[in-house]
Amino acid sequence: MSNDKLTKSIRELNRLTGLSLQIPDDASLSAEESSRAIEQIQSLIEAYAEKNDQTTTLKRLITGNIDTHEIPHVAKRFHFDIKAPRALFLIESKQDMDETVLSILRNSFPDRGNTWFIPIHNKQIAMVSTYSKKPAPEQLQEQAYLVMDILNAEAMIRANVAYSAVVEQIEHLSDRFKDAVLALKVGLIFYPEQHIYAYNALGLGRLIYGLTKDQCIPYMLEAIGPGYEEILLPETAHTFNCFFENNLNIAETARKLHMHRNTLIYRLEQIQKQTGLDVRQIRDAMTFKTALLIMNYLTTLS
Amino acid sequence: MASLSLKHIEKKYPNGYHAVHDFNLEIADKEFIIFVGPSGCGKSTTLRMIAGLEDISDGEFRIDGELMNDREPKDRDIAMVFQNYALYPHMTVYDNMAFSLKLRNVPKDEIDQKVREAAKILDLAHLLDRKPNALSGGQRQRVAMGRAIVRNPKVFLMDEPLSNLDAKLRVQMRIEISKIHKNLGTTIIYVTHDQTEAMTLGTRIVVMKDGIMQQVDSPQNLYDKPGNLFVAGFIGSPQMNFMDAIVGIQGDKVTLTVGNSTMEVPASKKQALIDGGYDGKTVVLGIRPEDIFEADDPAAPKGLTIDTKIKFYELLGAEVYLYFDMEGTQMTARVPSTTKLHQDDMAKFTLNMEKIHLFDKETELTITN
Repeated sequence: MSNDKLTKSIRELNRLTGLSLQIPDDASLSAEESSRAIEQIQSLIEAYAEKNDQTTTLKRLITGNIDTHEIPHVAKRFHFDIKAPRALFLIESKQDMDETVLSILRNSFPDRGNTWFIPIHNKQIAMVSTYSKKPAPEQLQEQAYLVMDILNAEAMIRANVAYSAVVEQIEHLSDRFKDAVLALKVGLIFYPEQHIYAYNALGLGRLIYGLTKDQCIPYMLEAIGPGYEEILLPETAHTFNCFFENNLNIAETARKLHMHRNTLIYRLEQIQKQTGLDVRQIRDAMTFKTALLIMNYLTTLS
Repeated sequence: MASLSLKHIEKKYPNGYHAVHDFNLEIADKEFIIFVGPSGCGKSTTLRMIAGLEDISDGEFRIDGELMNDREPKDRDIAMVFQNYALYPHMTVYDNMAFSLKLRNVPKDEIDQKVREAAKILDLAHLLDRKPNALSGGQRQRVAMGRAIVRNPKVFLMDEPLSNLDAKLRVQMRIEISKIHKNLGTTIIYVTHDQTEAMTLGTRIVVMKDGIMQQVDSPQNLYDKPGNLFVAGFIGSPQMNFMDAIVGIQGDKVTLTVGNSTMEVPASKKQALIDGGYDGKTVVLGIRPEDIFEADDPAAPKGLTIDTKIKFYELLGAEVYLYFDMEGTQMTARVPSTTKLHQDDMAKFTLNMEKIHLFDKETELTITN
């Protein structure tokens, strides 16, 4: 009876890991020896399963710890569709995200074949979502907001969420993970008030992120002048950013800011007086916008 | 009991964006406070600072006298309801409401009591065994509120909770939320960009713009006595009509001239113009659409009469909005649907001068209401 159980365990081990064990024909195991052997094989099976469950495998995959040529084989073994639209969301919190947080997230998206939550470390969780057809950018944005609202309201923790573009091949998931990591870093520096960052919408922040302080300062002196720190004040930045986002349209900007158009024109003329840039012209507006972003970056660096 | 105190609250982000400036507010126990304003005015950021989801850059925030600035959200005794209220789709209504308590290891009996009480308040008792996909949009929203209610918080924070609902459902849910406030007797802070929601729900309304508190008052006072041009334009639908007017003061007689039309300022309003030294200056004249009458309306007051042409006509059932030009400014009049006027008709309107509002053109502050 014990030998039957042992044989079954050996078969199970072989099925999962490919490891072969044999009981010699002339072996005569006592009940105690047999039970100890079964226990040890079960421990091996559990350890292997733990290391190779779907979540762990996905973590290895997105962090680039599986060789590209092995990915199709691994995907097949763990029943991952090789070709399916997927997006990767990176959730980061200042607080630890423990099992309670994971439980809230997993229960909010219980379709376990399609949405995976992968703890990267105790303050970061990756969410991989699989879709039946390629989702629109708005759908990804909505999903990111949903995750943030769930974490805020249910888990009561602060969170920022960055997300990648959609990927069709599973082997490109590790690139999308890198994209989301970058989106989070750039977003937190250039757009910290937003909390949600799309890799495809990082704007000039993406370019500026790669610059050194020594490369930034000459641009500031050239574009704005020596007093750039006194000129680029938050209120000026707020007015200009609204003007820029409204396609340099005075009437629309004045309406959005609930400001009289003459007040807005006065503020824009002040910018021209101080910097020589007529931000009503697209060329100067671009220069000013770039200077504002670099100023933010310099503030972060210092 | 929960009274909240916000003193000199500031929110500045590391990138220099100044989202909230010197925000001061005392909220009494059981108040229903609304933060309203256009997108980007700082209302959600202020709510998130109260929730602990954003750091407070400067100032003091207290609940019942206790300083909360550095407390984690979960330690503030608050509950939040957001625009996105994902229910757990595989759980029943009961389990959806019980889940957060289970995670906190609250005893079963206590969970059961809290869930059933919340269900009773929300009129969900007969739906406790249903799953979210078997509920209507309004019922789902009530379950989301139930999840907040079972936490038995001192303060409820709601950020645009009705934005994802259609117009009809929003009206129903407004009534439900009012009822919940009455039944629970808890302090509620509610963020919306919708001034109708603000006017119908709040005991007091905080109007915000560009991170600055513009006015805090009861809904009626905000409507009747706006503190500045922004509040006057933001509160009320259709919005208040505005036009530039030049003030003329000759002894005791005060007039306003708009283009070629001159009107006499009533006694109740003229002293503020005299005291403020506005003679010869341009001010902004505001008048609400319901204070413009057809000249032949028996209820029409005596005042300036304008001859004009109706550019657009909008029937809303019980009333009609008539759009016309006055001295180059587009105006709106709200009149009963019994009006004989239609698009392209010539019309005579009278402005009720007792109801005009005057604003300083430079400071945009109210001179007189």
